[in-house]
Amino acid sequence: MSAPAPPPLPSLAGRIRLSLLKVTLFGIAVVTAAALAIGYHALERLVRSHLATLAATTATQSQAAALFRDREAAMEVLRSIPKEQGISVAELRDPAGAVIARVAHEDQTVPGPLAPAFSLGHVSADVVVDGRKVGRVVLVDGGRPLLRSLLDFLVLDLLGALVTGLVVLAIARRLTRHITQPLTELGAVIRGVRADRDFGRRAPGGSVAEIEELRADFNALLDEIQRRDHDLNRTNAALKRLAFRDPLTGLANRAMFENALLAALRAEGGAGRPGLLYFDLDSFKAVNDTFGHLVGDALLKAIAARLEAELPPSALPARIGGDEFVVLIGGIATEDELRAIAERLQEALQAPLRAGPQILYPGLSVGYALSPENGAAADELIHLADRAMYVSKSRRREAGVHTRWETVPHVDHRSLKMLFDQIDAAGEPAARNEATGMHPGVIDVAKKSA
Amino acid sequence: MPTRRYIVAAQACWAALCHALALATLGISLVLAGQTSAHAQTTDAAASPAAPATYVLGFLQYFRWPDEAGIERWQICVPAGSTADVAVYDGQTARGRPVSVRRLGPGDPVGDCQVLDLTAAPAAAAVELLQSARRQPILTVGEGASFCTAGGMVCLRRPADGSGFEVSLTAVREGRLKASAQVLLLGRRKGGS
Repeated sequence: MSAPAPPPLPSLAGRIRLSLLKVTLFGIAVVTAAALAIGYHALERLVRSHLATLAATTATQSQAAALFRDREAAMEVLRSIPKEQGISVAELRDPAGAVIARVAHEDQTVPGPLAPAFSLGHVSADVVVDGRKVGRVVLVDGGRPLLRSLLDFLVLDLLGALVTGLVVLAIARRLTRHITQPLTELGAVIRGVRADRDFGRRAPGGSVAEIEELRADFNALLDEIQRRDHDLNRTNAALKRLAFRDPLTGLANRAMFENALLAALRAEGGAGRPGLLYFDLDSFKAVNDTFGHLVGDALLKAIAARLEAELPPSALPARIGGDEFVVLIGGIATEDELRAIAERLQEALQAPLRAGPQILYPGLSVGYALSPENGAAADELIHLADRAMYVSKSRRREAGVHTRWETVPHVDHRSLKMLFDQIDAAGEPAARNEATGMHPGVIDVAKKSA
Repeated sequence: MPTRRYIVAAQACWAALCHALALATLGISLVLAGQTSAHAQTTDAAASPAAPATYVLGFLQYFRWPDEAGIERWQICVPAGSTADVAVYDGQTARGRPVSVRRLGPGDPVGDCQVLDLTAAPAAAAVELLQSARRQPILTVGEGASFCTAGGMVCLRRPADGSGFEVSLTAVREGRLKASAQVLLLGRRKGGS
């Protein structure tokens, strides 16, 4: 059992149009009724006086016929009354009331029950000869002249009503356009805001004061909403940044990285698999202890900048600990491919860089893990890469490979702080001094496949 | 929105209906007004044909005599043997003058008669009187077409032949009488057709 649908609401324009039409038709009806009432009585008086004249004329013409009671002569006179006078019966009677002659035109009688309304009844005139009444002419009005006049009037009235109605509708259409068009446009702007969050649009101006007011209010409201939306977006972006970015390097933080890793592992199809690289700075604590945190931070920033510079935009580098960086790379076909990337990256990251009077030779241990065909949990993959990195780190330590530095003698120590600011954050390594022979040397990438 | 259009159309029709209702109300009021003037009429019985005396009285209206100023009363003369209903003439007037009847014995002069009513006269008396009234301003009225051929001015049709009369223009002119157009039209129509 479903409830019947509510009837559609009439439109504003429809209502206005209908009201105007009703008022007009009511006005026409009132005017028509008044004009008919007045016209009816005026016409009736006119037709009656005309009939009286006609009867008098006929009486004069009937004198001899009445005097001699000559039926044929009387018939001739009565027949001579023009048909368009609308006489249904014409009679000549003698003074006693007996009929001398009678002419009847049945077709001049208005048919139907309305006949008495239009017929003026009978009009009579005495036939007088030498002061003596010798007969009487009786004319019965069939009602056609009055009916014809009233019908003509009605036809004109209906035509007038039709024309007036059409004109009123046209005027109403133009009038309502001034009201409904701005409303429609306002509605379109509101829908745009709701559906597409299109805050740039504004309702256009109208020509009606109330609608103009509504439009101005709405546009002001839209301005406010737009401002708030802008503020909200900015706050959201800031919050997002706080939540997912490492504030020091600007790289993704652990939370964002784990989300991305989960998404990559969950994703089906496509060429290759996601691979994970795990970097850790060697002897980072020593750099911090020796040169202070400013230099340590500068080193981290430089590594981050190099990561971003070396990696394609599809890869996601992240800083997940003090001196630990991870990289998520999609679309890896083979382990060799991943290893090649790791080696290339390691080499790029280990390029020497200048920090004030110091030249740093950062050492980075790297481990990698490739997501297996059957899939692996995210934390498992991270763990594998982490383990591989530690294996590599311990081997490097055994081999004596770690982060080293040397001081450029001619640089003034007091300008050290100023020079810190000039650290090439873009990661462009300071001129590599081949002559020192201080190359990182062994690239020892331990790997552990899952 | 077609539905809205229908609604507007329906409501416009309603308004038009109101218009028509107003007119109908007016029409009904007109009927009621008209019915108050409904008429009642007297008998429709046909009038009987006019008697000869009626014709004679009528002719007094439509003929003119040469010296009417000297006429004080209309002298209608009837031959002694006539069976005409002369009582009709009693107390009648025409054009302001009283009507009187005179019975004519054989040989009586007809000079002071304006009308000779020979409609019911014996044939011999009629012929004699017609002869003596010849070329005098005396309207001679008889019955039957032969009366006009015999020199009479107006001959009424016999009741068997219907109503009406004929006028002999020659006789009227000879008697220096003048017939009005109306009576000539009536008479000639009868005679001519």
